[in-house]
Amino acid sequence: MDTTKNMTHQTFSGTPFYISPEVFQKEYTTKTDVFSVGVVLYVLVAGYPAEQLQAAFNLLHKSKRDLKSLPGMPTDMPETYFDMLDKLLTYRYKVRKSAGDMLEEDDFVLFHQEHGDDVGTTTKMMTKAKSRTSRRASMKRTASIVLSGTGEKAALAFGFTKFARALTTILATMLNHGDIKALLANVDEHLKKDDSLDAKLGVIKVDDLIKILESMGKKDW
Amino acid sequence: MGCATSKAEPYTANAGTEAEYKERFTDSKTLGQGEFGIVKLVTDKSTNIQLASKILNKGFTFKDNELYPPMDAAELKMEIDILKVLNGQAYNLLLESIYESPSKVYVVTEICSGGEMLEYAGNNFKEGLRTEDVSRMAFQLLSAVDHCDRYNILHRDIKPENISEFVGVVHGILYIISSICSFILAQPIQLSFVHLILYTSLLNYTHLISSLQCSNPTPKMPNYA
Repeated sequence: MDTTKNMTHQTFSGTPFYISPEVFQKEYTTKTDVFSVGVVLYVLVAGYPAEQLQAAFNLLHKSKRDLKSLPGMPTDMPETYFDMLDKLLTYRYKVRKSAGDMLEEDDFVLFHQEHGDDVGTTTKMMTKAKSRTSRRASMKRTASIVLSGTGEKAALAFGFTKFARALTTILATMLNHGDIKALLANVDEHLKKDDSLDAKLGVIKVDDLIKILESMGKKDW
Repeated sequence: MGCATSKAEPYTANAGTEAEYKERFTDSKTLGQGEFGIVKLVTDKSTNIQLASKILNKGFTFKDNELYPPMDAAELKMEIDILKVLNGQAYNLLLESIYESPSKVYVVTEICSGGEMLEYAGNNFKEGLRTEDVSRMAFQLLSAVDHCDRYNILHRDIKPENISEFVGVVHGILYIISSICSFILAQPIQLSFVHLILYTSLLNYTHLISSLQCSNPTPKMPNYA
């Protein structure tokens, strides 16, 4: 297993990164998915902030924050994109917009139709899609531009996903059911002890993971 | 390699029989394998359309010298009920049909062959995404969430890995995909995140399906029987 420096901040898996604040309080509403969509749309343009996961997570989970300072955010994102993101990532779910509200009123979400590019949004039955004629005159303009570095960042983020997945698969193949259970318990224990890591994120450094495996007598790692 | 359990009660309502399943589909390659069973690429003999078939064992699964307990019947039932309610509309994966034998459940769905969201974005937008591309994706994802919202269903595990491109008549359509247990009705439940990470990765078949590069596009299917 490669343990070079550039891997130290990478995570086991990014799952909790997309989870809304209320879920950490064990509260679920349909607004929960709206928040996750917000995080997905951030990762889509900025890539997965593996190196600055904690910083990104803290920003996302704050009620007052500057979304433009999110790690990896392209510099040419339009204002309307940040307006949309701010609505999707509203901290308190009670005031967060529903998906239906967003489809009806958000300028960025509806922008592609304005632009005449509705391939893929008219082929399937829409639930609340509004026709172009119903658009407000006050609609904020969004420029049709290529967002710098975006495709490349998505490809990198996908590479990271593959890495995390490969690691999980290797673990699953190398360890038997009992060992996996023991490993999970040890990871749990590690996250509880270590204050520098946010247990909420469930993040563990590859180095620490290897130490745990070694402590379990898995010397091959 | 499941052995039948003593439960005589069927897992699913109005499911077809195993004979009907074999009559209708030709099995081709295995797309993925997990604790509960396997996922196969199947072709509908009458229409030549490719679909994904999740073959779940009702009994214990013997794999890699380990015995795995079967999946929870109630969870499977809920997942199927939810997929039926969503009816493949508004960018949700369509449940084609279900078949059941005394030892197995076959869940046949549409197949998303275009790759995961980030793979799709990386492969198709080498020069970078345009603002309207991001807008279109936002619209599609929110449409899917809105559709679930109407039935008080939440996905609770939306992330790029669970979003795949459905390749149909046109390209660029993203679907939110469910894995067993990922959809729930809106009600509080207990979660342990660390455990969730590893277990979802181990049990999630969908990433195996979506990594498949299909040569034949899969057109839109009619409703399940």
